[in-house]
Amino acid sequence: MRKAQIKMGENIAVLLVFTVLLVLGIIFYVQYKRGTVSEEVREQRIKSAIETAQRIAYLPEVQCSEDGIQRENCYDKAKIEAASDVMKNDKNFYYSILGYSTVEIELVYPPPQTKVKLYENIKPGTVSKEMTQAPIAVYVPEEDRYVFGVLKVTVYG
Amino acid sequence: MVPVLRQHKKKGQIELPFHLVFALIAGSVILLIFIMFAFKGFKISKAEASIDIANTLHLLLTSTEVSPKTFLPIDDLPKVQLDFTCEDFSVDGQAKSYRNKIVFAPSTVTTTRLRLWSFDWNAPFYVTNMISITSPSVLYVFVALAQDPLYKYLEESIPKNITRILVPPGSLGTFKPTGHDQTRFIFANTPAETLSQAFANKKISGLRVEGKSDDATITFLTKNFAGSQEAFPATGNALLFGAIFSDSLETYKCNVNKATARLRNLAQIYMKKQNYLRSNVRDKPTCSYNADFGALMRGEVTGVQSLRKINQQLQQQSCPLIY
Repeated sequence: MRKAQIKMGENIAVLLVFTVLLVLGIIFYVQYKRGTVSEEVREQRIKSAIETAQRIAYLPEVQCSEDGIQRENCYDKAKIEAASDVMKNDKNFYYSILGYSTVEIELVYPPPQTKVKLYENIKPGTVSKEMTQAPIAVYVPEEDRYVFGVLKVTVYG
Repeated sequence: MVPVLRQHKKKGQIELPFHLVFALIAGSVILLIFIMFAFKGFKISKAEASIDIANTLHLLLTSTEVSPKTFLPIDDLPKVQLDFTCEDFSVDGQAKSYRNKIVFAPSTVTTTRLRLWSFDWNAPFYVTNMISITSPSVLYVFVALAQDPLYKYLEESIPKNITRILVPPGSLGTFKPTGHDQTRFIFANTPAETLSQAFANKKISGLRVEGKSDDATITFLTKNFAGSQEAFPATGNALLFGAIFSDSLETYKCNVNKATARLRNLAQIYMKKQNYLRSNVRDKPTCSYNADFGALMRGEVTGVQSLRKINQQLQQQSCPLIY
């Protein structure tokens, strides 16, 4: 009888230890996965910012054109200034293209430096954001020359 | 002694059948559970495959959209049902939104092969790219005279890999089904004709086009071609192509509305650009910026030639262009 009781006690102890180890293992795994998932979400946001920047490069609203033919890798200064008003007044339409993001174009060189906020649509209750910047060439039509600019895209998560 | 033996014998008689019945019931329940899991797993994997196809198709649409005048054949799809609306498409029920894309396609197509073709809409400045989706299982029947300029333009412009044939006017009554899943009849500068009884249970649609390639009037026909829905202009060949590939008037109109919304915004931008150039181009007094964007800003594609002429004049005078 005593032998059986001891054996039963041993079994219970083994089960207890096993359960504790299992719970610890699950806790560690969940913590690790949480870290991995948040990193993946951040990478996805950065990817989204780059995609938005690429979409802007092909927008006819800001892209240079010559007699109806679009010129790649070129932003028209006159159109940028006009587009910022139009896109502000029709945010719903451009939301389908640019989502929750802020797009700014800054003319950097030669001076004077000017900044144009092309589009802004901040996500309500946003908890995080990612920004990407890219150098761009901006065409000044009245002077028929190019200036250096920076395209800044911030996406909200 | 004898009564005890009898009790033992009775116990065995009750226990054995009970075990059998219990095993049968438990076994059936376990088997049922496994079968349910198998069906669930099959459904999930089918849905996953459809989602994969939808994502791939969406990527292809995106890449086709950014390069106009691109033709992309897709020949290795599993047999799926694709449904297209103005806002989204679905692959075996798994929907994916187009976002801002303008896509003209049949409402439903079940196929393993697709044909994607992109073309740009200019009015006269570049407005947007549009995409048409079709399949070799859809036959486009042009009812027109071979020398008709509109038909010749369509024949030369539409990619050769898109299945089509020409039928002379007046002979549609003898035209027989060709085995395609769907047939779309386009009457180019010719009245609509009724089809033979052989098409009674076939999936067909019709479109009537009158005028020239860059200034046509299109009319979607009702199912038996006896009547028609509203007629409206297709200014610019892109809208004409869109009408050819769309078998639903509602979807076509929705896509045109999306494109027109873009046109209105762009017209505003070009008008403001014109004002900007008028104020800032001072060293060239011959540069005249007086184009009228009123109609375009209302979404009416009129005054296109006049705007084109003004831009060309500016180009000849080496002035900064409006567009």
